[in-house]
Amino acid sequence: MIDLIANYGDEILKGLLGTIMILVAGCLIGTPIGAAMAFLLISKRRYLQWPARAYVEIIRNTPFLIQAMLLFAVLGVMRIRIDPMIVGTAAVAIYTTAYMAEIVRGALKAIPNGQWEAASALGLRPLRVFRLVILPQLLPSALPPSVNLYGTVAKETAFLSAVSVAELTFAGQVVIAQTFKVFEVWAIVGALYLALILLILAAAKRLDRGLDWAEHT
Amino acid sequence: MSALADFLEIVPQLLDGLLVTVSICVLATLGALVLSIPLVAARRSTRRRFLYPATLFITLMRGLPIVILIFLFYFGFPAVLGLGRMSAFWIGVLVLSLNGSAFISEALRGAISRIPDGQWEACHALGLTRFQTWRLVLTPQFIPIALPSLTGELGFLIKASPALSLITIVDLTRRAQQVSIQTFDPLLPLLAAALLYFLLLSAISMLSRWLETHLEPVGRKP
Repeated sequence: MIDLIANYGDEILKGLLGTIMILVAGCLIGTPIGAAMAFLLISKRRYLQWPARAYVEIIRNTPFLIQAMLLFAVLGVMRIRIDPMIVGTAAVAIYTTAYMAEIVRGALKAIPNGQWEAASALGLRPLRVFRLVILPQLLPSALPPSVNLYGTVAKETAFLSAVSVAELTFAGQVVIAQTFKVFEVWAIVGALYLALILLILAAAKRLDRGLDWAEHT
Repeated sequence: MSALADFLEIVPQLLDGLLVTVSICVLATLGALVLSIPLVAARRSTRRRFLYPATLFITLMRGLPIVILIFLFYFGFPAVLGLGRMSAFWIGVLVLSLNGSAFISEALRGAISRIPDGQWEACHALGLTRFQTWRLVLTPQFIPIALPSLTGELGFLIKASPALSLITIVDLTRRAQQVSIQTFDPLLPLLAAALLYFLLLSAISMLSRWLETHLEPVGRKP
């Protein structure tokens, strides 16, 4: 075990770094796009609502691995060559966007329509209505499930090893191919995932407790 | 039009893969339900020797990617315990059951904690035994809560099930890859598999929503 960490620790840590980079970049891209898509989902105009709804349903009702494989296959057919890390990040962003849109839509729905109307009756422009009135109520209900989503996404990124993205699971496979230490490597890789994911889930729980100022007042 | 014809030709070739995916996930959901009962009991227990292992188990299941769990159970444990080659199918069922049980048991535990203490006391006052209380009074109230969460779990497991394709199981994902190699077509078989997953998961989520609206928990009725 100690030999393994001494000789292949770098390899595995590089994999962990790859996972974290894909996760952070994918979520940073997917979160704002998903939040914006939530407004399309609650739009009364069908030509805005329907495509967004179709996107969210398709992503939420297919496995992540299939989405990632399709993305790689489409790029392959079109003969576009991009670094697998970037394609993996794009797959994560596509996935995060759909789930985030549903989270923000749910949070928006909980805010009564009267608030938009009252705020604009007070003479606030739409953007200020959002920033000053809606957003402070949106965050407490949307932030904890969003962070929870990042935890789920972190688990899904392990699938990217199947399309040879250089992340943590892939690094584990590479080290196993060289050392044949099947159990030890998966135990170490598993412990690293566990640390990463439990950290994210703990943050979500903490936010859930700390951010419910809307209910206290 | 020929692309559409090709597409329709591929779908039947994938059906045996779909069957494997569905049978593993249905078996795993049932297994998860069975496993979740002692798990709930342990989580509600005040005795540490039950509570701590159950909590640890649930934490592990929540914090580990399904891919890693599958690799640990299919490659890792047999290697370290010297078990030789295990049946990939049953390892798949086992891992998905274990994973599902952690989530189902938490849903059930939440449902149980919402039942007012008065019911326990009333049953006790009526002279019902513990077992009778569970069978006659409590279980009928859980079914409306448990059924939607079971179908939800089935959907969740189906979304996680492509991990099975990584340990040689010819599920829908693996089958699509095989057809892809046979037909030299990298795209259509995958699209067909995506369509089948989509139809399956949409049907399950519709069923889940239907159950949720039609099975009102007893306590909520006016």
